Amino acid sequence: MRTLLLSLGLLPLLAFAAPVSFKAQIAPILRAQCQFCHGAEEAKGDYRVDSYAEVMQALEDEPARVLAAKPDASLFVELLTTAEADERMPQKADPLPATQIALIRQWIAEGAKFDGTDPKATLAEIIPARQHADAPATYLRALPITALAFSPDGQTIAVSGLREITLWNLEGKPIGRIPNMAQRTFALAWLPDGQTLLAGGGIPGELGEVRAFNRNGELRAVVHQANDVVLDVRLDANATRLAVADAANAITIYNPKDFSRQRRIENHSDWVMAVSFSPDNRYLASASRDRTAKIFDLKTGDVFSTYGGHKTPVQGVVFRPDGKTVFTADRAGAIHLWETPPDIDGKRFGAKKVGEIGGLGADVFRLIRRGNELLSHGSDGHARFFEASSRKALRAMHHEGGWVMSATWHTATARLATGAHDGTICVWDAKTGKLLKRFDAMP
Amino acid sequence: MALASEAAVSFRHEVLPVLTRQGCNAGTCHGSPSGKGGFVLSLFAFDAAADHTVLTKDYRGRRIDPVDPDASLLLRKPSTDIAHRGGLKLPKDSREYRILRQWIAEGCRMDEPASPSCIGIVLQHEGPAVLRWPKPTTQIKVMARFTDGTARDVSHLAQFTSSDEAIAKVQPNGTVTGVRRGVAAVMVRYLEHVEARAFTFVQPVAGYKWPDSPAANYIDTHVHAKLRELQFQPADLSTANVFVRRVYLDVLGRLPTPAEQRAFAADPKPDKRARLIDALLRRPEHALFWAQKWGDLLRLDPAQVSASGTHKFHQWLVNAHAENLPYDQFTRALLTANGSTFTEPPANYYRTAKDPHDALETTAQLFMGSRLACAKCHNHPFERWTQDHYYGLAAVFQRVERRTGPRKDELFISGLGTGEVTQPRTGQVMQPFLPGKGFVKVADSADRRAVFANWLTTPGNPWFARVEVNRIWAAVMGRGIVEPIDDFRDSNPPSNAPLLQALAADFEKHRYDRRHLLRTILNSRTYQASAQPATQADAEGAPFFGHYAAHRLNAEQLLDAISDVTGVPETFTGLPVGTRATALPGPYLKHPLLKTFGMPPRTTACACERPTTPQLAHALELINGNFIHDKIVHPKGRLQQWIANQKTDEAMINELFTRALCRPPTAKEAATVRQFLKERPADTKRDRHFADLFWAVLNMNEFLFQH
Repeated sequence: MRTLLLSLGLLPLLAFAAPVSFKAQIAPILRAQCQFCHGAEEAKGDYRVDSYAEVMQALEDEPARVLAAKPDASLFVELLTTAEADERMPQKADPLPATQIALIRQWIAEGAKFDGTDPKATLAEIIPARQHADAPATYLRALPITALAFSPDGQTIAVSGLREITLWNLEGKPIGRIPNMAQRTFALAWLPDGQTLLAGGGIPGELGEVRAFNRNGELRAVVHQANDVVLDVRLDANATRLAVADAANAITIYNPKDFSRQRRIENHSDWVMAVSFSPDNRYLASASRDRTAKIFDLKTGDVFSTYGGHKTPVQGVVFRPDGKTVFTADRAGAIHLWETPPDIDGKRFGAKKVGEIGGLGADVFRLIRRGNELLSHGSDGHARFFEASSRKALRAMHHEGGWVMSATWHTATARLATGAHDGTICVWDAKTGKLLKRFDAMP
Repeated sequence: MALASEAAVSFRHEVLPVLTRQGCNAGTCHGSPSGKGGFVLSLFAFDAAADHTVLTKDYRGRRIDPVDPDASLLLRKPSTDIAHRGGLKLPKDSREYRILRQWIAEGCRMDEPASPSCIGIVLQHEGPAVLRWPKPTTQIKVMARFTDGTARDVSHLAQFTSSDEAIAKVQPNGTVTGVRRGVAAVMVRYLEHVEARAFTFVQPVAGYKWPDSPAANYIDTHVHAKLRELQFQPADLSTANVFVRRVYLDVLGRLPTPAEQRAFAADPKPDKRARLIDALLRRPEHALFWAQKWGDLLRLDPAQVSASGTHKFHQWLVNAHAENLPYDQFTRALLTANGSTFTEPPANYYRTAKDPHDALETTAQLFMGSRLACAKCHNHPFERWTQDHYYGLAAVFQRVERRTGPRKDELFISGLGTGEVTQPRTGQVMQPFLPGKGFVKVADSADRRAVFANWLTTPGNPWFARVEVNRIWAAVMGRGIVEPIDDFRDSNPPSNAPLLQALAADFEKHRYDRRHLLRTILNSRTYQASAQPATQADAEGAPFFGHYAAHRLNAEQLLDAISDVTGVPETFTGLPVGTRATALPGPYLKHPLLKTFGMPPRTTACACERPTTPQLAHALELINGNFIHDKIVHPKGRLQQWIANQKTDEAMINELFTRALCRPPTAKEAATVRQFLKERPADTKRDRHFADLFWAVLNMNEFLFQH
């Protein structure tokens, strides 16, 4: 209570001139300091702060935590300022800075208003896009190459950088830098016209984003925001849908034309590490750190089947051309092939394994399929082609120097590029497996 | 070794110790097998290579920003720049933060395989290990020795833990400060190296004067020295009534009868306590009661060794105690047992210990007081035991063969089988390990167990004698000199090290004669002290044996005591009439009282199976339970006989107190009882009131406790 009175006394000093904005000023505090325990996942004390609606929600038989225009009567403020260490939020951490508490008080005093469009939208979605810090002019150390994408014409490779995307030609010459990206990039995809690059990534533990850039480097839109990094961004065969998988355990489907959100699937209990559309675009398969892979019906968003055959997190996923069987890759050096038998009593949970490709080291990071050829790459330093129908090994490329963390494959020109942990990129002839060029992708 | 400021930060010698020191890789955090939040470190950094991969490459290298180190998740989370469920573990202005930051800035390098490695740590501190008020403090310095012959101060990288925060606190910089008088150890960990140093804290008591208590033998000399050093007063000698009850319960497991009490009271000679002790040690109930203690430890349970195995093994234990088989021979008989479990009951040791892991864990716990199970999967968190040691000990028992015999429930044990043990992490084939001696090569024709048993039972072994004398001590004193009794480690020091040493030396000198040792303890004034501390402040002196530690009768003693007082013997299915609970060969958990009061199910070799904490169920059983009621009102019971014989009120009251408490009622108690009887309505029967009186006495703490 003493702290409360103290902060009351300080209030005039810390008052802010303009009205406080929920989305720009309060939401970032809630997201950074409170949502970890009071989000959809944990909801400690049955109280959530992950949207404006939740913040204002009253528990049964209790007054709301935030009482508009009455900061002194609001339990929300009381819990931030109480001298009782067992009670004070955030628990097991320092109290919020006085300036943040003053902001919250002022916002409540001004009526605890919402200045966004959808009160139920998550905090991440309503917080205005941030301007990320500049990329370093030159890289003092190698950054792991975590994402690569050939442009639709096959002439340019987009590469994950630090707080930027870098563009290279196939000779290893830098041809452009796209700034204002979050710290790390884990997924890249071009729209078919070659004019828009989608970059998924974020700041580990803090922010997930998909940003759409024009080819000249201008930010077109922040497509997606989440509490932790985006791990995969995939377009369906006709580029009518965009699926985003993130470390906030969700899959979100957008329309790539206007980036409007079509569906959000929150079914996994841990990160969603990769997604894949079925050839007929009816289903979406997912790979998760929760050790399962799932198939969702895109029409309804319902789970069609769940595969639990992996003993480790599942990292890569792709449909076979038949659209029925699915390849998934794990962290124990194996790719499983599984299918969902015809439904019994309308239930489709009984996915079962029908084959395996083993002996791939430890981490198999990602799977890509074009026609009947399947590509995997992993911590054993190899990218490997298999025949999708027979699972027969076709050819393997050894990227010297470390873990192959990313790959991109352009079928028309038969080019494959692999990116490694040591910051190098190798360009290969995808048909013969011949190394064409190796370079350090470091500005 | 160069200092951090001059050369690259060492991953092994600086980064990993920081993670341990800050608690990151503790078993409750990222060191648990499934980690926390998907971030999995090896427990106390025992697997450097795996930790390096996890920190630098795991999940697409998300934890490290090689270009902008401060933006690394590895630094942002524990410094709570981003919410961290574990709280603030790495303040930005700390030396630990700077070490991690510099390591990232230098490119997250792994040490060269050929770089010097740490072979051990040495603890240094100024002044003696006895710290006194007004300044009960000292500074521990940790020196690490490396394979290249260099030594380096790693105090800022080591982790310090106090064995008892109520006695001593230790700061992260190694400053030790006493909280109150007593003994506590400070444990220091640097990488897999663990050392501990015990400190005695002495707080002067105003006006303290040693009362010059007489010493009956060397035990008292050591106990008194410790009490004096810590300025505790010794308790008075127990009264004859208290002593006779205590010694019967400890040696025979049962209460003395009124006749036995009278005989002791009538003995006029000054050495009557010593002669009673001698007489009790020769009685058959002694062997039965003490064999039961070993039955618990050796898991004599029909579910594990069959009904016949339980009986045969039990009989072997009873004989071993009756004949006072020297403890080294007893141990060797168990460890090197061969042949049929029918003709060689000790072979059942390898029936309960079903595989090399169980055998080594059981053996270490029973004979070395060491809990080794942790070291199966990782280096031990509080001790020097490493995973290599674990599998080296497993190699001792790897070649034990268990073949089924022609008869039902028969098993043939042999120590000359084949096979090797492979350390799962390194893939190395392990030779048998003898702690303190190293890995030894044993010829294929020799029994590895015999080599181990010889090492174990050779006088001077650091564990063998100490663990057993401590076990015997705890059995009669109510608590061990090392407590818990099966947790011997440097970081859990004995409360009186010279006493433990003297007992062990005496035990070795008398060729591991357990009866001699027990007799010596029972004859000490320390054992015969009152359970009442000299002053209230002396209650804190319990760990140093200034007074006798009162403790509840165990389940079997309690059942026998209730049967004896009520005059209604218990019968046990499948066992001869007259078998007492304190002589049961196996668990008998279908009995409500035995179950409630914690007769061990004997599923593990841990002494902790016998709970000592009070539970609500105990009170309910005693106050409301049918068991006690049925005993009291039993038609053939003592109460009905007394009523039938028209015994006087006075005589009944006196005998009840004598049987249950080994003393007559006090004047006040007698008056209370008389008042109670006077107030009875005239129309109720006499036995109703005396049943209430029985019930009241059997619920007295003085009855339920040994004191």
